[in-house]
Amino acid sequence: MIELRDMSLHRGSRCILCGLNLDIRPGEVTVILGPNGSGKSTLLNALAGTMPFEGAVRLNGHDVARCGPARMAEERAMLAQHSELAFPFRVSEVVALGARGQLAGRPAALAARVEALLAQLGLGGFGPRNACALSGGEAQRMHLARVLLQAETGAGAPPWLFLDEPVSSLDLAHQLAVMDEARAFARRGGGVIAVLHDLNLAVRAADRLLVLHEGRLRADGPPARVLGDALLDEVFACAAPMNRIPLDRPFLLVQAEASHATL
Amino acid sequence: MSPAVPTPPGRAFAVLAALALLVALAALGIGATSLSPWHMLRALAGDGLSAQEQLVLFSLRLPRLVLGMLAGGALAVSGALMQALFRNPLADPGVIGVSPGAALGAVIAIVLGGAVAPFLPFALSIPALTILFAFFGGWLAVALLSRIAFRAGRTDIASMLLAGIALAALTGAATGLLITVADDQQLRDLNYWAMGSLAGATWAKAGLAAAVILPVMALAPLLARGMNALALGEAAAHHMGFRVEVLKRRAILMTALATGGAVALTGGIGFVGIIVPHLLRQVLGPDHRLTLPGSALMGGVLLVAADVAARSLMAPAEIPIGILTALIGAPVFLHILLRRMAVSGGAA
Repeated sequence: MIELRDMSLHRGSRCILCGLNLDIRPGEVTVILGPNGSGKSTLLNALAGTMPFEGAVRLNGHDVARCGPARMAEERAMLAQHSELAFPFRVSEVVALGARGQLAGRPAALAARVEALLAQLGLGGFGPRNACALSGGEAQRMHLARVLLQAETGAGAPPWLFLDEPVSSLDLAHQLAVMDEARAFARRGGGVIAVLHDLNLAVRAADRLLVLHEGRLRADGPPARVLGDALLDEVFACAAPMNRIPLDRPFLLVQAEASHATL
Repeated sequence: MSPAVPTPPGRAFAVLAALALLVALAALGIGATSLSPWHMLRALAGDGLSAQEQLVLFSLRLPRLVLGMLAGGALAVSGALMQALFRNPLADPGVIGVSPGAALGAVIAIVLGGAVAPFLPFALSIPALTILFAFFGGWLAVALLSRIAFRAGRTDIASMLLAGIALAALTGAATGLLITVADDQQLRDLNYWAMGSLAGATWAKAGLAAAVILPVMALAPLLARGMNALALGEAAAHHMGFRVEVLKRRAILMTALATGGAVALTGGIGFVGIIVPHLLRQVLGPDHRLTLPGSALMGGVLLVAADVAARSLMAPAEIPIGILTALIGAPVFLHILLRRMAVSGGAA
């Protein structure tokens, strides 16, 4: 469980996140939505322990503000938006960097697990390749494999997976595959928090949507209840008629011009 | 790029050890008084060498070999640490100010030492003063740069890099100023020191080098896992559980110690810190658990080999060793730069 109590984050006098009170449960995929600058990534980074904040955040009972990086790394694994590799490590080496606990000290078992994770993410046989020479989408999946390995070998119970725009450089098939991995992780009892931009993907992948707008929680709940024409117009400044096909999950079809977005 | 399947580490280290032995034999045996390995074995047993040969072997060549192995290893380990820290294979101890700071310290000691020495509470020769000043010059520069780059609990690496450029320019100007007031003998000393040499090696210097450098060589591999994580970026390393700030400060401290010691004792020997980790990455891959101990060994091998060449190529004259390492190192540097530009489509 992740608990936020009066959690705020200021940059100078500007309020980036303002007084959030939330419980985020494991066993489901929580997707954070919101327009650019609404505080999505900031929230994820604060929960991950990489940004100081006011108020209280507890992750699996640990006070995030007081946890050192080693403790946090046991409880949650985080896939950052960008990751640039400085040296030509092999793909298997990069994934293995995520290993914690006993597995990290058992090379044969670690190599087998790394290969299995790579295969699971459609990168079977990529292990010996130069990680610097991968395409954007391949690199993204390699890092996801690393993060999954960290989450499954960490001591956290339940483990948490934080994904900051995990599908930003993936084609459609891999977008769906990656979010299915996230759902499978949640079904196994883990917690998943993902920042996404694609509303349809969010609707498809999320059990719960958190919609941020100017640092405040604008809506919270299952996708079918949260996403509606009014919210789209107000939060995303986009008058796009929404079709609900099938009925339980809304499907967004952009037909009209942006209503009052200034681009 | 690293090969798809790097050389097994065991074999690579065996080759390195064999190279070290070979280079050591050459360093001890080659020179005006030439000594065969057989000769030296007998010397270990305590017989067969003339008094002069004893002197050459034990008082000249052996301390020179030890100093070379230590200084080369120190420069290479420092280079590997800086490259990991700056996430750039072209980084070098020079960028955090150690080398320019040490150089300024040495120049001050050489040019003003004679005037200052009588007022010191302890008696020190100019060469000893040079070592002391170079070491603390290096330290001071790093302390200053760290202070500039240290903001709100974080070390901003980009600021440190830029401040390092400014500092290098400043020390360069100060050095130039001192050179204009130096006399002929001081100029010769300066020149020799600036280009680096193992010629003045004594057991005292070798012992001093060991005291400063060996702890760094032993401790640097403890940072290897963190340095590997740092290859993914500071944020990723933090997410993976590493205290990035502590890691950075330790790497900078170790570099200041090792490079400061090496530069103080052997002068301005460049490029070892760039060539050695680069070659090792080609053979072993970029894993710092291998490149850090490998650099400690191979840096020494390279520097001692360069020293043998420096003593023999124009014998009896001796080429300053810094000239040789620059002759090898500068093209390697350009080679890495050009290849990085080719890979990334322009930017290094």
